[in-house]
Amino acid sequence: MTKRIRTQIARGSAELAILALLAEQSLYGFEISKRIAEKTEGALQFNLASLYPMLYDLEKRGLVAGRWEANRAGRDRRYYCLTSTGKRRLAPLRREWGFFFRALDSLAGVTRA
Amino acid sequence: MRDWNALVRQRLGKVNLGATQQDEVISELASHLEDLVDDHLALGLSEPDAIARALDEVANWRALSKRIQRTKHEEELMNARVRNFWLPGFVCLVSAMALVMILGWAGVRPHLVAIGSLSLVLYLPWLAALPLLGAATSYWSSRAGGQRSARIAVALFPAFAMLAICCFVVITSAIFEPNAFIITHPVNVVVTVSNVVVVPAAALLLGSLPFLTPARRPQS
Repeated sequence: MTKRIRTQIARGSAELAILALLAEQSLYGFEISKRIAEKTEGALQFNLASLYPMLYDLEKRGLVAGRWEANRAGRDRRYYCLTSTGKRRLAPLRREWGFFFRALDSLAGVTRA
Repeated sequence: MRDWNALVRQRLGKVNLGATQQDEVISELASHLEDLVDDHLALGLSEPDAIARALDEVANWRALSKRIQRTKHEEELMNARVRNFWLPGFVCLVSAMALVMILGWAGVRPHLVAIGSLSLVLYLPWLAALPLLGAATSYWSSRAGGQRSARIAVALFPAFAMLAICCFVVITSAIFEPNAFIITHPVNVVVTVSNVVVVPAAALLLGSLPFLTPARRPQS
């Protein structure tokens, strides 16, 4: 697999993971990375260096919006929520990835392995 | 208690962003590190180990700084271009067009200036108002942080639009009609273009001259 394809898959899956998570509720960066690691049982992990450039990129593209709020501990955190553009993007993104995994499955029998 | 903001600021180095945006990025990364350390402490790590594990999240701070700068800077550039070029430029164009229409409705007659066998059709009140328009929009662009080239382009926006229309009309008339007059009388074409492009451009540029000194920083 070329580096370009790997990068695109990683980027696309990261975008889906973040948008899907923010569709449920607004979260700040640390919570996003923690929830993704928990929900995927560690299969997908974001560290600080990979998470924030991705969040800033999503924000630049208008898919998420950030605002400062105090968290439960009273500390100021930048919460991200899904914008209406982000909500519109999420549905086709889910379909694309569903199609991709079904195609991969029919080719490689991943779920039957 | 560790000053995470100072640590992140020092490790990121110089990030070429506006002061507010830079502070926000630093605060956000610092708070993430702080949460990570708390998390590791809750798992039973010693404080030095928790801090070391948190800092391991970033292998290359310089690369992170560059990635953030690239992402944020593009956004800033786009916003700045709208503020200091497209917006004042379109306002200049619309104002110039509205002014000429108002003068037409008010019954202002054009002034004919003969140059040999040719004549220039000049709306003198309109031309007199154009330096003010050029000045206002150049000043606007300057206040929004526009470079000298942006301030000139903004003032000349109506002239560029007229030039584009003239080129379109002349080329389509010459090629698709084909209009023999345009082909056989190129001097008339040049005079007409001067009439609607060069003369207004000179008036607009005249107004922008006082605002072509070095750029002001954008107002945040």
